[in-house]
Amino acid sequence: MRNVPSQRLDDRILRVWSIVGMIHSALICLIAIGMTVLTIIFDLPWYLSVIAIAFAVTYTGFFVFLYPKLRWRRWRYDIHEHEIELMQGVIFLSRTIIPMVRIQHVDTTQGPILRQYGLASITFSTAAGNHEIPGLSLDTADQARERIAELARVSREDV
Amino acid sequence: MKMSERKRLHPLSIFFNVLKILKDALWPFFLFIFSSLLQGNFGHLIWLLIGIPAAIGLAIGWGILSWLRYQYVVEEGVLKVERGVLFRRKQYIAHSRIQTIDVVEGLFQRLFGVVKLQVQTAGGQRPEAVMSAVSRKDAEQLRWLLLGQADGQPEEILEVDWETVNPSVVEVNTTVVEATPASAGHFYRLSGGRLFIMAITSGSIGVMASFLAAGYSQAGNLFGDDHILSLITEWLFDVPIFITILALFMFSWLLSIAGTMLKYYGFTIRVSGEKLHISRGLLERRQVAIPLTRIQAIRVVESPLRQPFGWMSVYVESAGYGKGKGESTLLFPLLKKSELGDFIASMIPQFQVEYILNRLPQRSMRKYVTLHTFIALLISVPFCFFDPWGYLALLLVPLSAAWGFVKYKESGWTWVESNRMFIMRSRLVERTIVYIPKNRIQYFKLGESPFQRRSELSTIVATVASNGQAGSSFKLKHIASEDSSYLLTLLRP
Repeated sequence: MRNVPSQRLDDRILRVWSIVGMIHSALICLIAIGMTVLTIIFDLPWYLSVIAIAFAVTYTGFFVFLYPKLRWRRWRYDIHEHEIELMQGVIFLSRTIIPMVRIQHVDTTQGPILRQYGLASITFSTAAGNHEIPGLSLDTADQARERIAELARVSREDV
Repeated sequence: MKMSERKRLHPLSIFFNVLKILKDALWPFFLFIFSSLLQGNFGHLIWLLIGIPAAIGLAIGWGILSWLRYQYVVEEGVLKVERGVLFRRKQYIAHSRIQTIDVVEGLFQRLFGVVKLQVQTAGGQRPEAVMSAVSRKDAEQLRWLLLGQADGQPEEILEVDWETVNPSVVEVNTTVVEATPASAGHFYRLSGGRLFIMAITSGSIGVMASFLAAGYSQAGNLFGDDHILSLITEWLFDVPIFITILALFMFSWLLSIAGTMLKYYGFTIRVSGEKLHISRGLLERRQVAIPLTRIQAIRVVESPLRQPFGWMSVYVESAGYGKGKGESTLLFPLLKKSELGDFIASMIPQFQVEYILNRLPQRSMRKYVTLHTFIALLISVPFCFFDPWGYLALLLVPLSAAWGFVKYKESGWTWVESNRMFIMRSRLVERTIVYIPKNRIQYFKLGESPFQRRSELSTIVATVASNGQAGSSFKLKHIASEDSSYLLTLLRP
């Protein structure tokens, strides 16, 4: 696949994804600890707890360190006059083209973690579902939103 | 035709209200009876003597009140509905938001010469407003006031059309099939013969049969000859259990045939006033109208049972319309391959295209066959541990591989520049050709798995707006990467 889109996400999103990874890793770790406690209490085979802990450690390592990097490296987008192009996916690569004419409305959203890092996401909806560009600096996101809204409006008038 | 005074529904709607309330009240009653029986407290059941008449009385009272409260009026192109007994609700629906107004004639409605109206708006999953009983005259007036400009003519013409259909007889190889094709102009009607063919070949039979076969092979193990269930059926019907299962299957099959025939009886489609008008059903006559401009894509589907005989059905993906998938979107249930061209030309001329499909590259065959072999192995190997006959499950493997090969062979795609139309053919169980005009594509996606990347293949997905939030996606797997990149640039606006 040649001529990939040119824009990247803000690299602060790496930290955000790591934090999100920590949150669900913490859950997995809790479960693993719980299982270990249960194996001790009920005198179950020791390897059950080893499996659980190994899984939790791998899971944490993957989602806190590796996955955000891989994801960031792959994520690209472009906002052209007539279409938006997205490229994403760690294992399964996907490229999506959304014609401007099809875009019904654009929002920028900020969760608590994103706000902490001065980031925002752009969500735009079509008649067949929503698409998201997840982590842009607040300024970039605002500009991009204005631009998409403007372009979408113009191309609608064309049709 | 002005309608400025408030109107009520036809009094028959009281009956529907009562029925609905009673239906909702049924569960508590069942619960009560059940728990009384469990506790062995038969004395409690006396309360039913008071409870049931009281419930019916209350339901009738409530039904009348709801009927009294339900008022509607059309003012300046806005349908205003006021309803609710305790919680009052005012609903304003502007005519510009209304997609369609469906006319449904249920059994009771037909007896009283009224109809049920369902007002659909864009993006709505369910009908925005349902009027359970409206006199034909009022219904027509409503439709005229809210849709009239676009619809052109009042609906009486439909009735005339139904009467004047003149079935001709077409000979097809060895069987004689009644049909009324394009001779009637922009008008198609499903003949009785075709209705029957449609019913006996309708989807679920094959699936049911295979499940039954699998279930039966295990039933022998689970319910041995002295198992309680076997004993019961033998005692009740004086036959072994497998005959009972077979009979049940036959019975449910006949039931499904009858159901399909009732539902699609007299299926008629005609085009007028920039809309496709579809009506069907015996007991419950249902009419829907789909604006031609709302059509997003067309699907031509050949199921395995119909394909050998050259039968196909045509579906439509339409924006902001429809309830259940594949039900309200059925454009025509059963067409001969040779009639498809005429059908499209007269009903949906914008989809008239000539094309040759591009096949998938040789290397993608391996993907299809491997995946199918793998899945079949996963399913059939566990069976080998069951009993000597379990090895028979391995027969599934070559069959499934062959199925994968068929899928590969039949998949294809093309881009028709003159019509700016994208066409894809693929098969899951049924062989489906989908026609998507470029300007209807909501988004186009190209995906690559690691395995695909190694062989330079990819998966393409085109999504159009359709009922529901997510739209309808059409997927073609293992297309050559150079072709998918070409499509990606092509489908850029």
